[in-house]
Amino acid sequence: MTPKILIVDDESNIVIPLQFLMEQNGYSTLVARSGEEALEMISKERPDLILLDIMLPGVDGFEVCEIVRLNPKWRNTRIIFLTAKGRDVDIAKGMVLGADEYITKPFSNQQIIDAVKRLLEEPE
Amino acid sequence: MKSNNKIWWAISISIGVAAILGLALVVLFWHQSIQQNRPILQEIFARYGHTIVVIGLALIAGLGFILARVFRTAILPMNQLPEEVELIHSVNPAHRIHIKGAYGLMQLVEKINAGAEQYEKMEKSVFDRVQIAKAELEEEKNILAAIMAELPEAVMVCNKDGMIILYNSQAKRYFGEKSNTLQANHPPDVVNDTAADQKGQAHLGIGRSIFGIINENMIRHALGEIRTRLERNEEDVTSAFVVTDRANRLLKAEAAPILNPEKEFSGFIVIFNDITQGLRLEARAEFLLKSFQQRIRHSVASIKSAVEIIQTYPEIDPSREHQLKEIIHTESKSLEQLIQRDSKETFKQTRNQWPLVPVSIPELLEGLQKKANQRLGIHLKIEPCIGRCRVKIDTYAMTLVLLFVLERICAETGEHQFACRFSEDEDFVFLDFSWKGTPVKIDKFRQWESMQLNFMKEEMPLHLKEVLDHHNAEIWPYVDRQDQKKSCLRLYMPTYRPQEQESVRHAAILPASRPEFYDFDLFHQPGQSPDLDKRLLKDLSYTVFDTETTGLDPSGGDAIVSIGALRIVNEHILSEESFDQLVNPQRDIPMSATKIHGIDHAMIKSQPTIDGVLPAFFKYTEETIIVAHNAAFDMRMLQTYEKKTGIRFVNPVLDTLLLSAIVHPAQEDQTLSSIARRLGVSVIDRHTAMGDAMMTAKIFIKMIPLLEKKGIQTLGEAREASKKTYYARMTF
Repeated sequence: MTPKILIVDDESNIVIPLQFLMEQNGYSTLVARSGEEALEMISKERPDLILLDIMLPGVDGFEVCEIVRLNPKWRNTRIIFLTAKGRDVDIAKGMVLGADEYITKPFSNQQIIDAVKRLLEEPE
Repeated sequence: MKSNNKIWWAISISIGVAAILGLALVVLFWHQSIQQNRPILQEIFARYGHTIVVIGLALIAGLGFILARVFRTAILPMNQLPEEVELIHSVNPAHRIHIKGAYGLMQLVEKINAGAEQYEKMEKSVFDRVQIAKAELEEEKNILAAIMAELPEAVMVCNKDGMIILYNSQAKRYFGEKSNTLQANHPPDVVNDTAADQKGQAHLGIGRSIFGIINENMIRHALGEIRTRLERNEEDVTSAFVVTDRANRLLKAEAAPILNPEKEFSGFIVIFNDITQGLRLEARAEFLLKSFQQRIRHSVASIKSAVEIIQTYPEIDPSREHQLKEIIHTESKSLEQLIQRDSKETFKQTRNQWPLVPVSIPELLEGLQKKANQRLGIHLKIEPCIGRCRVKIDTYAMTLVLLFVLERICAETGEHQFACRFSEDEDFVFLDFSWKGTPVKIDKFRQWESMQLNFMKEEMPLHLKEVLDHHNAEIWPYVDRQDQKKSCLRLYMPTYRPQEQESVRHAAILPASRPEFYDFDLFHQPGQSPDLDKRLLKDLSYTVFDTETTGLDPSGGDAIVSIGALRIVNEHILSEESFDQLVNPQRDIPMSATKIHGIDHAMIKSQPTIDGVLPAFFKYTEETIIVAHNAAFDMRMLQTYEKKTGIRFVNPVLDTLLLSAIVHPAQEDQTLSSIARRLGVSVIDRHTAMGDAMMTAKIFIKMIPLLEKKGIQTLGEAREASKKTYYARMTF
C-alpha cells in the first residue's frame, strides 16, 4: 500500500515542490494549509508521515505535534518538522514534543527524501 | 500650678497660721490669768478691744506684705533664675536676665549678665569659626551636589536599614512627586498623587525608607545577593534588577554595597537607568532579525527545492517546469524586496538593556526551592547537575517567572510534588520540572505567557513572555515519551560563557575618618524599631505642621484653608521637602479669620478641596512623628475629615506648647511668638501655615537638648511628661 504523506504548510511555493518530490518517489500526498485543516485530515486520512511547518495560521505546528502525540491512535504517525525556525531552542523544543526529525529550511531535496524513506522503513 | 498662685497660697497660709497663733495666745493668757484680774482684763478689752483688733490686723497685714515682698523680691526670682541661666547657656546666649528683686539678687543678676556677655562673645567667635568651616563644607557639598545633579543616572544612597540618606534630582524625577514642594498658587497634580498612592508608593525623601518606593522583596533579594558575593570575595559585588518608576518607566537598578573601614556592610547605593526605550528597540530589532532570517530561509528553501527538481528530473512535464520556474522567480523577487526593506529599516544597535548577571543553576534553584516551599507549599526535589550550568539572568525576575508558573501548575493540576533536573549542551541550559499527573497544554501555557507577571503581591509590569524574551529564554510544556504519566515543563536558557572581562562595579569603602563633604551620620543610626517610644527624640523623623482655618471651632464646622509642613530628620529641617498647600474649604471665610492669616475667597476658589489634599499630606507624614504647636487643635481639625476622606492620622504626636511648659514651667506665656523669642528663634511669616510650621520646627529642635537636661530623652518620656502638664487638660 502506498504510504500517505501529509504536507502541512501555508506557503504554496514550498508545497508544490514538496508534493512533486514525494509523488516522484512513490508516495501519495495530502496538503493542508493550516493547523486545523491538518488535524482534520489526520483524523480522516490517517497519514503515515507528516511534513509539518511550525508557523501556521491558527493552531501552529508545535500544537499539532502535541495533539498527535497525546492521541494514542495517532501516536505512531511519523512527524518531520520542516521549518524556517532554525534556532537551537526551536529544534530542542520540536524534538522534546515528539518530532521524529527536525529539518530547517533551506534543505536539500535529497535530505527530505532520505529522512522520509528512513522513517517509513523504520519499525514502529 | 502657676508661680503667682503659689505665692498667694503661701501668703494666705502664713497669715492664717499667724492669726491662729495670736488667737491661741489670747485664749492661753485668759485661762492663766487670776480670777480677780479678769474683770480688769474685760474692762481693758471693752475699752481698747477694737484698737487691739485693729493693731492685730495691721500686724497680720504687715506680715503678709513683708512675706509677699520676700516672695516677689527673693524667692520667686530665685526660682526663675536657674531657668533663665539655662536659657543663656543652652539655646540663646543673647538672652539677658531682667528680674527685679532684692539688692543682693540684683547684684547676682548683674554678674550673671556680665558673664553671659562674655559667654556670648566667646560663642560668637566659635560660631563665626564654625560658620567659615561650614561655608567651606557647603561649597564642597555644592560641588558634589552639582556633580550628582548632572549625572544621567538616578542615584539613591541608603544606610543598611534602607533609610535614604542621599538622592539626586534624577531620582526625584523618577520617584518624587510631580511637584515635591506643593506651591500655594499651583494646585497639586492630585491625579498623579492619587495614582502613585494607589500604586502604594511612598514619598521620596531623606530619612524615608527605600522600601516605600521600591518593592521591599526586590531590595532584600538584591541585598542577599550582595552579601553572598561579599562573603565569597567575588570581584563583582553588585546586584541588578528591574523596577518601574511612578510613570511606569522601566528602570534598570544596580545596587552596590558601601563598606566601612572594617569592610563591614554599612549601606548601599542604588543607581537607576531608564531602559524603556532601549528595551523597545531591542525587542523590535530582534523581531526584525528573526522574521528576516525566517523569510530568507523560506525563500531559499523554495528556490533550492525547485532548482534541484529541475536538475534531477530533466524530462519533467513542461507545465510543471514552468510552475517551478515561476516559484523561483517569485521567491527571488521576494528576496530582493527583503534586502531593500532591510536597507530602509533602521536596525539600531542596542546592547542588552536588561540587567543580567552570571549565576549558577544550583544557586537559582536553591532560592526557588525555599520560596516555593514557604509560599506555595511545593516540595521541589532537585536532581544533581551535569556540567557547570551557568546562565546570565536577572535572578529576581527569573525566580518570579518560575514561581508564577509553578503556582499556576499547582492550581491547574493540584500537584505539589515536583522534580527538577537540569543539564546543558553547548548553547543551552535545560531545566526540566516534572510531576505525575495532568500535563499543561501548549495552548494553556500561551495564555499564561500573555499574562502580567505577578506572584502574591510581587509583580513586574511585563508579561511572562516579555520577561522570558529579554532573557532569550523559553518555557515549554511536554509529556515524557517514555513515561506518558510524567508531565514536564522545560525552561531553556542560553548557557553563559564569559567572553571578555566585563566592567564591574566595586563596593564603595568609606574612609576611616569622616568624609569631607557629606553628613553620613545616619549610617550610625540604630535600626528601625517598631517600639518608637524607646527611641531617642534626636534620632526620630518628624513632620512639623500647622493649619490655618476659617475659625477656632472644628466641631462647629470650621474648616482648613491652608496646610504647611516641614520634615525634621536628624535634627535638621528639610526645607526642600516642604508641603505648602492652600485648601478650598467649600464655605465662606469670615473676615475675622482673613484678617489673621490673609487668606480670602479669591485665593482658594481654584484650589483643591481637602479630599484632594489630605491623601498627599497623609503620605507626607508617613513614618514620622507629628509635631505641632497646640497640636490638640490642629489634630482635631484633621480628625473632622476622617469620615469624609477615610484618612486617619495615627502617628504619635508631640506638642511644642506642652513641651515648652515642661522645659520652662515658670514662664507664664507659652504662645508660639513668646517661646520663639525666648529661644532666640526669629519670628517670620507669623500666621501663615508654612511660617508657623517653620517656627515650630526651629523651636522644637531647640527644645530637644532642654528636654534632655530634664531627663526626657525618648519619645515615650516626652509623651508621658506632656500628659502631666497643665495645658494637657485643655480641650477643643
